[in-house]
Amino acid sequence: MLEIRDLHTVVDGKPILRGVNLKIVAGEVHAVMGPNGSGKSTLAYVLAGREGYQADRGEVLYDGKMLLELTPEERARAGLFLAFQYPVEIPGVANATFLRTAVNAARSARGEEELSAMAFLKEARTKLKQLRMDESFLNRQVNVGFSGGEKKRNEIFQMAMLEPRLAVLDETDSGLDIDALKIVADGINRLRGAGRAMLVITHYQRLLDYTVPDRVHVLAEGRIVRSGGKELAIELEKKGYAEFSSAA
Amino acid sequence: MSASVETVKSVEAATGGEYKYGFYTDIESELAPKGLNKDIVRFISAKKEEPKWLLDWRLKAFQLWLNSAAEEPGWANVRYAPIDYQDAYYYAAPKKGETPKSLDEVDPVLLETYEKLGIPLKEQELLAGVAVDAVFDSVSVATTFKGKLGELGIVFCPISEAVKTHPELVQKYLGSVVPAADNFYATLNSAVFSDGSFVYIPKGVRCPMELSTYFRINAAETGQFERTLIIADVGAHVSYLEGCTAPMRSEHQLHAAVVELVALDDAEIKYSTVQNWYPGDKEGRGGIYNFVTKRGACRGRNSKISWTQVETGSAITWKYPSVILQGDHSTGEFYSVAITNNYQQADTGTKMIHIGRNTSSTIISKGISAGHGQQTYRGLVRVLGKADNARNYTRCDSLLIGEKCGGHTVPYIEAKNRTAKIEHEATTSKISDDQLFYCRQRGLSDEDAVSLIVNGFCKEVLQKLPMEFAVEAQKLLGISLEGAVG
Amino acid sequence: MSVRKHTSNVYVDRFNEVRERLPGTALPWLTRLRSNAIEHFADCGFPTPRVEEWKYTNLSRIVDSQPILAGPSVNGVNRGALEQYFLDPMPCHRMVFVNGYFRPDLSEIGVLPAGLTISTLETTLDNRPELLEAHWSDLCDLAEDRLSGKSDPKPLAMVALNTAFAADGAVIHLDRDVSPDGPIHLIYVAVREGERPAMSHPRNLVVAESGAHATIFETFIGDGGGAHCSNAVTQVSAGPGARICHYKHQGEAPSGTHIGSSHIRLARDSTYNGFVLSNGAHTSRNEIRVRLEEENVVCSLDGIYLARAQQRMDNWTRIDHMAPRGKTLEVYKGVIDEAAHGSFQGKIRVWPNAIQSDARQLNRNLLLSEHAEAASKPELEILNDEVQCAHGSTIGDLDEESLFYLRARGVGEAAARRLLIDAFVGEVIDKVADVPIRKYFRNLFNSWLSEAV
Repeated sequence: MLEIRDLHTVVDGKPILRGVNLKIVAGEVHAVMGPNGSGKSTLAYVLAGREGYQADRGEVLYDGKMLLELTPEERARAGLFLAFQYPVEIPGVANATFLRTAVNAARSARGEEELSAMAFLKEARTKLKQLRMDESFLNRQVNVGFSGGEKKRNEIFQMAMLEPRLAVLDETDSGLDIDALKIVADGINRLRGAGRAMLVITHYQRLLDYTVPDRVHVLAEGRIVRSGGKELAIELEKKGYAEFSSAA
Repeated sequence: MSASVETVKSVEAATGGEYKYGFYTDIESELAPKGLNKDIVRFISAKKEEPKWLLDWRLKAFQLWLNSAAEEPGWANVRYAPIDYQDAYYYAAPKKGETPKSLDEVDPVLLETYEKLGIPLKEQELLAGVAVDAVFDSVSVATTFKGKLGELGIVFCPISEAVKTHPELVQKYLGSVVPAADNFYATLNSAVFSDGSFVYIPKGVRCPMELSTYFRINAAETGQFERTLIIADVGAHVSYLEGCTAPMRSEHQLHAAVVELVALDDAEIKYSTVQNWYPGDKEGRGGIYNFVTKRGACRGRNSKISWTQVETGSAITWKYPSVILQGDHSTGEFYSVAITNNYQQADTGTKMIHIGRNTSSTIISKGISAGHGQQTYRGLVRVLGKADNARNYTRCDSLLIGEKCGGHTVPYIEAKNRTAKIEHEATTSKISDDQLFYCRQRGLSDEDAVSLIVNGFCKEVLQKLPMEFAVEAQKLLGISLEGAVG
Repeated sequence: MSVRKHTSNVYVDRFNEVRERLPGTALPWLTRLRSNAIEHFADCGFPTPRVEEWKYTNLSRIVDSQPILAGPSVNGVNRGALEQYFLDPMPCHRMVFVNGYFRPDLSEIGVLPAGLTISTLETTLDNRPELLEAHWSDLCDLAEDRLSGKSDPKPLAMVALNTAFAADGAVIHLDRDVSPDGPIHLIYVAVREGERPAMSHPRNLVVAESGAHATIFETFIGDGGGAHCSNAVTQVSAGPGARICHYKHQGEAPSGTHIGSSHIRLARDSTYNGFVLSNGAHTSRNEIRVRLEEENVVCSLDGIYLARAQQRMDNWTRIDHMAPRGKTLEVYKGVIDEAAHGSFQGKIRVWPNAIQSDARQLNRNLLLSEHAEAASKPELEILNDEVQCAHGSTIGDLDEESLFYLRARGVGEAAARRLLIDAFVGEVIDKVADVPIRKYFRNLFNSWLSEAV
């Protein structure tokens, strides 16, 4: 589903990604781990198409399409979802309005009929219930006044509504207490399945206790330096990233 | 930077689209001779069969205007070539023998015009609960639901008619809030005002429907000088809406209106405006000069006046709907959204004058500037010595889209009473790249993202509009209500 | 109109009387500049509250008293009377001016590091006129450029009057990377001269070349007898990477009038920290114009005004962000008691090319008595979209809840009020980086507060 080939990225004049290669098959969950500054968030931004995070070299194939040639919204409508490490506040805009606009933008792009207000509400309520989240989420302004944990849960809720084909979760576990972490992991697990792939970016392995990955990769200094099964995450938790930093 | 360019484009698409109300109705007009002098003032007064006191009042105002010729306001942040006041018509009216007695007698061409503007004047087709006074150039051409309102003792009619039917009320209140000598444009209006609406809500009556006036400038080279007077007697409540459009013309046209509101004890007036005069084209040619004086007096205890405005039109807007808080415990509000795009300029805001005890005022202003638009919030909050426990909260936010526009904030805050509590906050920023990217990552187009963010930015104000206008206002802001659930 | 013309004609006549006695008459540029300046003033007259920028300053009291031009004063002030204003214990360079004229007998200029020149206007006109020419010409033909596109010379009439009559003042020059270890303290004393009030026109210039650091402290005081008017102009120019701390205490005698106008020009990467505390004069105006002319300038501008009795204190600032990535933080706080009037008019303009500007402005006013009055006009003029700007303004009495909280903890009302006023003002004083100067302002404020009812 996703194939990253020799991806290089320079941000603010500094080389961050220096040749990333990664292949994810539909149905799999991959975890990318690595020390701070290794380029994990940069990878997420390049995949989502954030301005200032263009690839200098290399290519990314998504469902056979050249991902990097698409605008951010085209990628989103093609089923790529980024759960932001720092979700953005949009004052005055209700979560429901925001999400319904997003859901319908994707549906129109797929040539499907737009969801009516009632149908959307019904769907949203169902998803909220599944995620053990309060219905008031719908009427609140997008991320405004949300606690850190609420913001992350809101990302998971949006992911549930948008039903992406490829979800990139950028440190969605950071700053969560154990209950919120379980909700987030539960949200991820619900979406796991054939036809859907996930790239979980994290610094710690604790999320991986609840969402067991198929593959674990270590990103250090802009390259994937090691790949392995879920046991790699446990090993990293014990040893830390010291052996992968340039000082070592 | 490239995000800005895209943003600008999408805003153009969202707000810039063609002006939908730019058509012109081909109807024979009766015009006063061009220019302005005492004879023109007499002509207007005679046309309207006014009593002598009103003619004298006009002539006195005209003299004041001549004397104040050097006082044309120059302090506002707007730029325009000097206006030749002699090169315009001060009276234009659709030619028609007799004043129509009922809607059935109104010229079908006019009815059609309003239909095209989305304001059907046939009562059965109207939105339930909205009575309309339609002002076409210098005269009122139709007023709906007069009879039904009359049963409650509510007077809703053209001011020229009220002069005849309710002279005592007009004489008592006309110029009592905005005196003829108030400012250059108000003085001009006092001399040559044509038509406008008159509303009187009797004691204890809650007006059962929204009252609205729809102003239309049609004739070329014509100024519109309407005059509106609304009086809410003790315990009365009224919500009044005003809408404005004009044809697209390459020359500028002057619109200098005066609106006076009077609220007695426990009365409440809510005045909403969706101002969509022709803004000029993309190069800044043509468009209306909207130089308007609007002021309300909370004369009574516990009275309340609330202004809500959505200003999207006009080449130049110069407008400060104000409240004089005379009565103890009175309340003044000002909610404003203004958009300036292309070469539009707006200098707008409010004045809240606290005179009585325990008075309070709230000001929320949202300005959006794009293209070469220049926008200034100018406001005055003044607390006089006797106004114990006065409270004011002001919030002004400006959103800038594009590198050539400007957004300015000029508040004047003056207090002469230690028990006052005045708070003013203002911010200026652009739509953040983070917000745009977040929306786009969720699949929204740039255009939709901007619309959504602008809508959110204005929400506090749009919520204050009556339902019928909120829809139109949101459309005007380039925001589709499709998708609004919460 | 005619009255004003008449008044300004008196000043033209007076100018013609003294012009030959002013220093630097041999310099053609200066002669020309002075003639232009007196014409500028004659055309405009004294600014009145009808001039927008002078809305809250009313000079009629001093104008009506027809002040005479102050001359060099040789007696009446001794060192002992000034000592309370000296900075302690810091060694510093001190220049004292009486009615605008330098008094070497009261001054104390120590050994100067290489590259630092401390001099007077008169001496500099003799030995380095080009320095003055370069900077004085900045302030000639000045008009206030308003956003409406109109240009008005009236707001700058007092600067023009200073340019016409200025005969003395401090001139401080710092070469590249020079960084004197102590502050330079300029003390201006106003004294009585005969029956009519005297008007003095001190004119100062501070130039810091690239990388230089300077701390300048201006103190304006009066001897208390009779009315006096100081019409001071101070120009400051910071070169690339220079850093200037500029403090001012306006503590003129209770019957005095103070009109101070500072003009600050900042080159790239420079830093300017301005601070003004006013507690003196009957009528005062502190006008500060700051121009962030090049990239990456950091500017802070703070002010405190403590007004009581019948005092009228106006603060007027204008900060122009003219180049990218400038940063401004402005905080002005007023405490207004008895029948005094305090005001703040502050404008920040961000020019079209000044992208990524960050400008914040805050004005807060405490009204402590029934007849106290405050006015506030914070202004933002933003001409490009790549900015973050905000301002806030408040007027009111002390917060009731805080008062109640303190009283509930057993603090008496008067003490509680003092505590809260102290916190309100102290926060700004604490931003003064130079310890002896912070102490100076602290003591000043403490004694002001102890006199509060």
